[in-house]
Amino acid sequence: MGTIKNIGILDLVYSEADIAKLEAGAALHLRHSNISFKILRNDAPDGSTLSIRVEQGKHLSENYADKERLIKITKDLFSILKGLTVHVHPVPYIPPVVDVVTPKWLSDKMLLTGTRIKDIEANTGIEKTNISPWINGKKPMSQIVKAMFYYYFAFEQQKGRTTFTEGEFNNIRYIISDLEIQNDERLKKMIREQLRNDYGFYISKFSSAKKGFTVIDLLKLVDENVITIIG
Amino acid sequence: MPSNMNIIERLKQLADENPNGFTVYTANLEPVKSGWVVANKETQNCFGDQGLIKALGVALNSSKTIGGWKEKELFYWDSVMIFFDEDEATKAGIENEQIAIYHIETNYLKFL
Repeated sequence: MGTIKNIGILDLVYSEADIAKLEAGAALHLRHSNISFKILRNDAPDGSTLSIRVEQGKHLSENYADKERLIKITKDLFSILKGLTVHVHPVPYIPPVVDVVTPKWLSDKMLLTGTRIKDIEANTGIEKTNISPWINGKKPMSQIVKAMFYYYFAFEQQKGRTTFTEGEFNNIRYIISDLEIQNDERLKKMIREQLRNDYGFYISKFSSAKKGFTVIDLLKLVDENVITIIG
Repeated sequence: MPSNMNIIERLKQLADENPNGFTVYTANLEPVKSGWVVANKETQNCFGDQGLIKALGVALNSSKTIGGWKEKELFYWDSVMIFFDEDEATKAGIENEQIAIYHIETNYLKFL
């Protein structure tokens, strides 16, 4: 079968039946936990000592083993081969950064960056009838879709300027003071759009807080040299 | 419950995304995350589209689970039985002529 990489190293040392049993066990670990084995090297000329790498990948069951458990799994499996000593190099599963993407994460990012479904549609060419079910959780997101959204919003949050002229800064300050006192969500959205379109000022670039961005927050960014004002 | 056609399309998608293997419940296509897994000999050597249809038929009439794995260029489908009692799982494994059974939440392999 060749489920275990480099299994051929054992051909001349162990019986066909033992190797078949070992492979069958490895196949179950792969199928049910995405745990795979690779014989790295034969550490003794008589084949009695092996270095084995055991690695776990992403699996829907989400039963992830730590290093100690991976070592035990490997030693248990290879104990089929009598008299064998194994040195195990465990590589536990580390979730990819894009796994943070959930329908709630998407809604939060859309709100934060002022992104609408039709913006995503326009930028990606994906029809909104496909996008909506991902956002409202009616359709599961594949890993590819999660990756797409993660980097879409990473890019969105990189948009915007950090250097402004004094005149621009004063206008931004005035607009934000106007934003602070607005209660109408539609008007708030329009003001945010004005900041983005007229000044390249993206609030989402500087704040991930859900509470409103204020003039005090703006001045703090200047004090911390996050925003630079030029003559 | 999704229609059979939807199930088949979604299962094929899951197979593309999880070539090393997966197991889901047919009712909601949610992954099986706990219990002893015992392969059902009725669904041995089910591969490709015909294999999927056969395994799904068995699953819908028995354990209500389906899954599979890719081996070389073929995707193999099977319906597994889930037990929460080790003795029952062991008995079922022997009856189904299995070499081993698998405890999902602890990644524990038990040779029979």
